[in-house]
Amino acid sequence: MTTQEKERLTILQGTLDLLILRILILGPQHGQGIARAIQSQSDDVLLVDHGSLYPALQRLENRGWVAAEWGSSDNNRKARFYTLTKQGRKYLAQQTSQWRRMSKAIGRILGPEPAEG
Amino acid sequence: MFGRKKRRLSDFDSEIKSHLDLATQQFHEVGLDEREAHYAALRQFGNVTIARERFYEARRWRWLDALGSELGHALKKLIKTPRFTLPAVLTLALGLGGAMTFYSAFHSVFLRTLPFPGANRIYRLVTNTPTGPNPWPSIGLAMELGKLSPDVERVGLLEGFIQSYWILDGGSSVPVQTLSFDAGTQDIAGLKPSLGSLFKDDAFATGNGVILSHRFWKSRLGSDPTVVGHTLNIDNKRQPILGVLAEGAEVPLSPEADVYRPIKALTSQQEMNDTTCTALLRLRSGIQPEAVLPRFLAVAQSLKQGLGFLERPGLQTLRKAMAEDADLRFFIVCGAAALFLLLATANVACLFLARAAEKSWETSVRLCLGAPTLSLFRKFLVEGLVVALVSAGFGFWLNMVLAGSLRAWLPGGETLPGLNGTWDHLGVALFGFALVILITLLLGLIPMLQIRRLDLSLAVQEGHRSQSVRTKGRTALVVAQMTLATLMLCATALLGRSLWTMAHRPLGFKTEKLAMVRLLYDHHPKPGERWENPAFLPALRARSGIQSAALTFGFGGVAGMGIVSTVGRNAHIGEDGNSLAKTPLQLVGLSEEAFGTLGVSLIQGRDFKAEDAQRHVCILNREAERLAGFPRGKAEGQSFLGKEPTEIIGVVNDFHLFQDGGSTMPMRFEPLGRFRPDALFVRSTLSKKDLEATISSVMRETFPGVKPGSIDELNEIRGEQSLPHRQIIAMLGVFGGAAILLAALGLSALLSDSVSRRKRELGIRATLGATSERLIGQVMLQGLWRTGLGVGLGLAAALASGRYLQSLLFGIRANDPKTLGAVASLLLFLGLVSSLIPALRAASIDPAKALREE
Repeated sequence: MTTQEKERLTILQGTLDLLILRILILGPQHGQGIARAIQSQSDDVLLVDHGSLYPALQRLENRGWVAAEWGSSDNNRKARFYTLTKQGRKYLAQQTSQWRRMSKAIGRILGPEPAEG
Repeated sequence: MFGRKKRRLSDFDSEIKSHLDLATQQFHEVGLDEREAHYAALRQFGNVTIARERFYEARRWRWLDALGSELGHALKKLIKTPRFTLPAVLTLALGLGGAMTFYSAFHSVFLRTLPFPGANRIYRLVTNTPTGPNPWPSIGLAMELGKLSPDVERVGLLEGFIQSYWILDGGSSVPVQTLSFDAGTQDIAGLKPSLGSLFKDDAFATGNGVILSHRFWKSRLGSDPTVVGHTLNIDNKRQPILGVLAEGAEVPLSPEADVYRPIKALTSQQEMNDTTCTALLRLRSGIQPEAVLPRFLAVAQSLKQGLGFLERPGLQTLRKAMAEDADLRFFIVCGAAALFLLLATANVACLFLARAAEKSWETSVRLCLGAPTLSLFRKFLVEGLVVALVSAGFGFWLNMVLAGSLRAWLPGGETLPGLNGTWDHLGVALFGFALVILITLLLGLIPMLQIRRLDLSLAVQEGHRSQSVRTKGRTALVVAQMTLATLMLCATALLGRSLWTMAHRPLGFKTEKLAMVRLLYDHHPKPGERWENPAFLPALRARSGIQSAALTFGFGGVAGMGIVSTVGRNAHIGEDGNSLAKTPLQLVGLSEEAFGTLGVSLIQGRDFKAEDAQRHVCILNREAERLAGFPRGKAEGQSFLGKEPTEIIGVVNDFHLFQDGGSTMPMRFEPLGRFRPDALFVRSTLSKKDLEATISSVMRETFPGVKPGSIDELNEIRGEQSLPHRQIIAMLGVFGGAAILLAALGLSALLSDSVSRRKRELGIRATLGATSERLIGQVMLQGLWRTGLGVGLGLAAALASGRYLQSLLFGIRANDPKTLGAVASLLLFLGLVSSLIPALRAASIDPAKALREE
């Protein structure tokens, strides 16, 4: 296992939904693409457990926050594409502000980051 | 999500596969070979099975799963406690089955769409008399209204549902029910043939031909497709079969008959005025019945001259007419069944409450451990649902069996609403389901109300012997059961006594060795034909074994046992200063020596003699004399004024040849002559067979064109006629008995429960010196006040509903103190008996043991 891999974090419970919705704001994406996007946008810190990704997508679809449709990917492979719905957008906005408040509050309690080194 | 199409697991699988393919390709692109790339993709994905499982769980309806397991659990629990389940299910099933039968009867009369075109414009023509509406107006009035009133679209005539005889080639006869109607009724009913044709003009002109009902054609003639054109010997006359009606075809106000016949169109106005029958009117659309009555009255006024009196027309909607014709017996029994359902529900609710009380400790622990109240409610609901559903299934089956056996069992059962083929399975099932939901809610809610009052800490501390559960709910239910049982028993006792009185009232004639023979003619009467036959009766009387004989016309009931013919010639007497003028009398034609043969005693005057046939004379019964306003004993020698004055030559005692109702018909007897006799009464010492042979041979010699039909001994008829009464009493008795049994058991269980929960208290009392008599008295008193309250409320309800009950009673008042008092005493006694066992248990409590148990 490389150092980089060791430093990767598993996503906090309950935040995966938020991250998926955030990624989908950029446009329709398939499961693999979402996982990759989360990983790359977090500078490879967040690791998506693929086993949880798909049930989570199903849950979001059930709640009506995302819609899904089969289509073909860039390299012409069949994939299921997810799109953010109007309801999902609303939920995302709500959750984002909540998350920001929460992380700020936790940050205050934990105090300033110690200098690296 | 609800309403959204569920995603298949296979679709999810293919998504995973496409994910792995994409990942494999990416790994391949960065340099791994195909195989390694595939494994890397799999490693990266992690456990596919877990992902599938999670998807599967997310997809399912959790609450449905929970409900399913709850159902299974409830079912298992109920099976494990048969001592609770069996009585609950049986009680409810009996109640539900009865209620469903009641519903199907109600449906056939009040709810279903009537299958006639323009059914809401069809009315029954009645004439208003001082004693209420008379459903048999003269044909003259009906036809005249059809001719003169622009409001009437069509007039239809119907003649009775009567018993006829189908004479087979071998000579034996089979009773069949026939119904006759005219062209108007055929049109109003919207009848359609499934074979052959309907009646055409020539059938109505000659009165010949028959149409078969689909059921008769199927069951008796084996669905023979070549039947049209053949003949059927009905009542000694060969009739061509013109057609077979479509399946389920219905004629308004009539049960399904076997054979339909045309009413021969009458031509003489006098005949139309003299003849009455059921008349249907279909009004033009947009016409209000209230608006047409004054116009109808004007038409009736113009007819008054010919009739000699005024018939005041009235209209009844088809449904009202159906409700009036519906057999009261059936509704009485069904009403009892519905009341029983209420009682059964109260009883089962009591059982549920007792169970909830038993489990209050378990429930409290669950609540303390954080079980949501809603889930407990669901648990109770599911239990109630299971019991109600099982009972409903059982009840539905019971209802089918009940309806089927009632149809076969009750004389004339096929004419009863709800049994006569207008059976609505879907409606009954829906009604049953609605009842199930109601009962479930009730059974689920009642224990919940108890839980809400539960003091948790106390209940848990006290453990299984919790006294914190109050018994108010159960007490109320037990009192309600007692109330219902009292009400039912009061109605049963009153109806029972009334029916008994009716069945055992003096008949006013001698039944011994008296036989009634129906006469079958091989031709229709011609207008103006006279029916004197001086040879027949003397020849018959001369035969050995024959004591006396007489011919009669027009006794209601002659047409068939227990079924009163709706056709009869009612005489009305001129409006000439006599109160009788407004009262229709049943006109009966009699030969000489008729009263002597029947054994009816004359109060005044004399019996008819042979020479009276040519004279205008009549005899009245007591009821007619009273209605006519003659002072008692003054009628003889008086005359009715009319076209020809008719002298009253005698008055006879009231007699009931057929028990067709509570009241005595006012009757006017006239000598035969213008009436064609329809029955022969014979008093003889001969056996039925010998009698038939004797009559046949005398008829061959002296009475051509006539054959004896069925021979019935009056003793037998009497027994048969009281059979329905006995059956009703038996059925009411069963329901009433079950009701008091349930109520008594409910009370006993409640008291017994209260004794076991108060064991400690009773033990302390016993230690402190309470004698066992005192303890017994205390428990008995508890039982007594509950019974007393229930009985009191029941009596009040019985008195309040007396007004409705009174119309069903004969010879007894609805508030008859003896009957009500007897019922009340019986129930109080039963209350005491059912308190006795718990009371004895209370007395046998060992104080030391009871206290040690704590």
